[in-house]
Amino acid sequence: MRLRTLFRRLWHFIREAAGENAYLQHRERALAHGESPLPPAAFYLSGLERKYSRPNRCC
Amino acid sequence: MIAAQGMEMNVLKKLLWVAVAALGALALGLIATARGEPLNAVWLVTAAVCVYALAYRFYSRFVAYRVLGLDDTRATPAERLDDGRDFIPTSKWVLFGHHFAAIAGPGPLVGPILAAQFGYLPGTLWIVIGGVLGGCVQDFVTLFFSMRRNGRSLGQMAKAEVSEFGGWTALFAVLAIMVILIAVVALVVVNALKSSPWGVFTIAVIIPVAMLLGLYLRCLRPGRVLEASIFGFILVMAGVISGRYVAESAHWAPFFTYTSVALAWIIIIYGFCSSVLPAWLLLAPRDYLATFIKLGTIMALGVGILLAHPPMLLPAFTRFTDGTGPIFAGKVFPFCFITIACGAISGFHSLIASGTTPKLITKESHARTIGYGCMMMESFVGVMAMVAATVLRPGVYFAINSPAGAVGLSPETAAATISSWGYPVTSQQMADLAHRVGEITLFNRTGGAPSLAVGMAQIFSHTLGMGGLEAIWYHFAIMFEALFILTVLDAGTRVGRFMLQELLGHIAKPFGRSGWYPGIVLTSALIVAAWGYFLLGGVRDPLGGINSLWPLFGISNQLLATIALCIATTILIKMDRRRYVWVTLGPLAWLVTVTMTASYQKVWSPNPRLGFLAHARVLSGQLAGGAGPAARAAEISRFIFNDRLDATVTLIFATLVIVVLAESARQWWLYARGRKQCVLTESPAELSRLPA
Repeated sequence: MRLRTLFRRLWHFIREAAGENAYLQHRERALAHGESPLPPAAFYLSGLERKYSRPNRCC
Repeated sequence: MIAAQGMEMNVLKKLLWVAVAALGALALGLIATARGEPLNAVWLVTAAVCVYALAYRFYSRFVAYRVLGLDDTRATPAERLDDGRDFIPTSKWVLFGHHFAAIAGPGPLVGPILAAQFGYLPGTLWIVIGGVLGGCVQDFVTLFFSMRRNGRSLGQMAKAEVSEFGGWTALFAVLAIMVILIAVVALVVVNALKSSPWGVFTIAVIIPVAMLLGLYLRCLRPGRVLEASIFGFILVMAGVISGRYVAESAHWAPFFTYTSVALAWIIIIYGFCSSVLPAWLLLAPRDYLATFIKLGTIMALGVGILLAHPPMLLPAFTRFTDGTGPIFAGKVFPFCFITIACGAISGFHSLIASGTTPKLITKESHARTIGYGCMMMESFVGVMAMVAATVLRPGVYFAINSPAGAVGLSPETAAATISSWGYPVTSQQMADLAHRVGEITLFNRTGGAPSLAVGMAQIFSHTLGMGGLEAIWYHFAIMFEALFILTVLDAGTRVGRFMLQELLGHIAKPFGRSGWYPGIVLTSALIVAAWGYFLLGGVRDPLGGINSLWPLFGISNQLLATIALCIATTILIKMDRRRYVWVTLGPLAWLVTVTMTASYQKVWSPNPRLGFLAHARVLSGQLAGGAGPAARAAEISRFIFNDRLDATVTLIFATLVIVVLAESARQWWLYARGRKQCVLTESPAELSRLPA
């Protein structure tokens, strides 16, 4: 049981680190604020645009 | 009873730290005094781990709470400005992973490999001590100061805290470092892939795989990075394994066999295409792949070193501390400290630490773990790279890394030259090694990547007991290095293009629009032409290119670190933490000394292998004395121009260091004499509502 919990947490961490939960969080946040969330593809593209328009990978 | 238990715990903790200190001192003592018999690499790792543990526990805590005053009751910008886009409170360890993936590039792997020409000791001491007292502090304070200013960039902080001029200098330094950085990492890839059909095929496979993943992530399953990366990793590994058959095929091998000049042109064209294509198609999916493979391989290398615990065959000091080294010219001081920038202290980190990360920190105390801790991890990567270099026999190490201009073109001449230095190696040994790793030759493979790959292949094949798979491990390591070097190249070109668009936008409005396609094409071409010029100069350089380009990269990187530390010192003075300014002033003084000495020697040294101008004078003499056919004369004229250009660039960097320092010192004097009011540009404090 403990091992299963550990794996579940690890999987959750990996998904979080990979940004797979980001859209869900955006959607929840937008709905909570009464705004309409972006479609998944548009959200993904806007994230990339922000990420790669400034130094984000070092030597 | 409870009080007694608490005291017992305290005593136990103190004893534990005393034990860590004693073990670290023992390991350091052993590696510093060992002569003759090869020492086990585990001692190097132990010394580093103990220093890191002590530095993190005590020094980073001191900086965090005495110097900076981290306060978890104060809301961070991620909490105050939470918009679900730029500002998002993020889990500490998730952010740690993101920040580490952003700062850890090829530098901490390649720099230590090159600096191993002095022996393992100077480089290792600089990586560990420079890391904990310099690099970690720079990253931590920059991250913290940016966080207190709503995630302002380094340039914005320079403008606000030092002066308008400081801001412009920072902007110029960032553009310059980007150009030199991309040229030098591209040179490393070229040298790793020249005349290597297996390596070229592996890298060539990555591009269509990345585009396939890009389409998948864009059109089929937006944002499902994990499944796409696993799928991509399988395809890339299939490419690594099947590369052997391509290399052995008389039909296919010529399609993937290129000279260094041809490879340089391919990379230049690739860099341009990658900059003008949308990020989702090539850059982003390749970056995901690179990140996962990078993190996985670094962890595997750490485990491999512990399991294999190889003996270090390279001596603590080589005869080349006197500056006569074949890989790059110059004495251990200052060139060891210029060659290893990333891994010990890297100015480029201050750009990462003052960008996305400070906008995502949930609690101020997390800045210590992320800022100081991530840099410590990168420093440890540098130590592992040094271990990978030391497992090679010194003769083999020098045979791989020495340019033909220093040791001779034929294998026999190169082996005889290197053996005459006291590092025996034969052409047969090198041929056997090349055969084992699936290469045509390993002589004159400058740049650090091939020797790192040989070292990693030996560690992995020894650990896993699969000696027969050394060629696969070697090409896996080459793929691993090339993958994230190309990411630096892609991402750097794109960022350079954005900066240039912004600058040109002040002259002609349409350039300011980031989506204006003619602007994208023109600025991409300008940035690619700038680094492409240095790259082509590097691959044509008879001394191997690394000799001139790597020190330029080190100097430009340390220029950026100088700017970051000047800003940090200014802010500490304004915060009325004057008695603690040595925390940033110490590394700053060291960096300025190193950068200025190296710059002076690279420009003015009378030794033609070291000084750009002396080399140009020698070539001018050859030209005046009749250089032979017209093509040769034209080539020499180009080398002379490149030498003078390199000297000019070095002088510009050195001048900027002096100007930034003088401008900062003027501000410090004004504050100290009370002639200028200390006005901080921190965001107002608000009480945090998030649980600790």
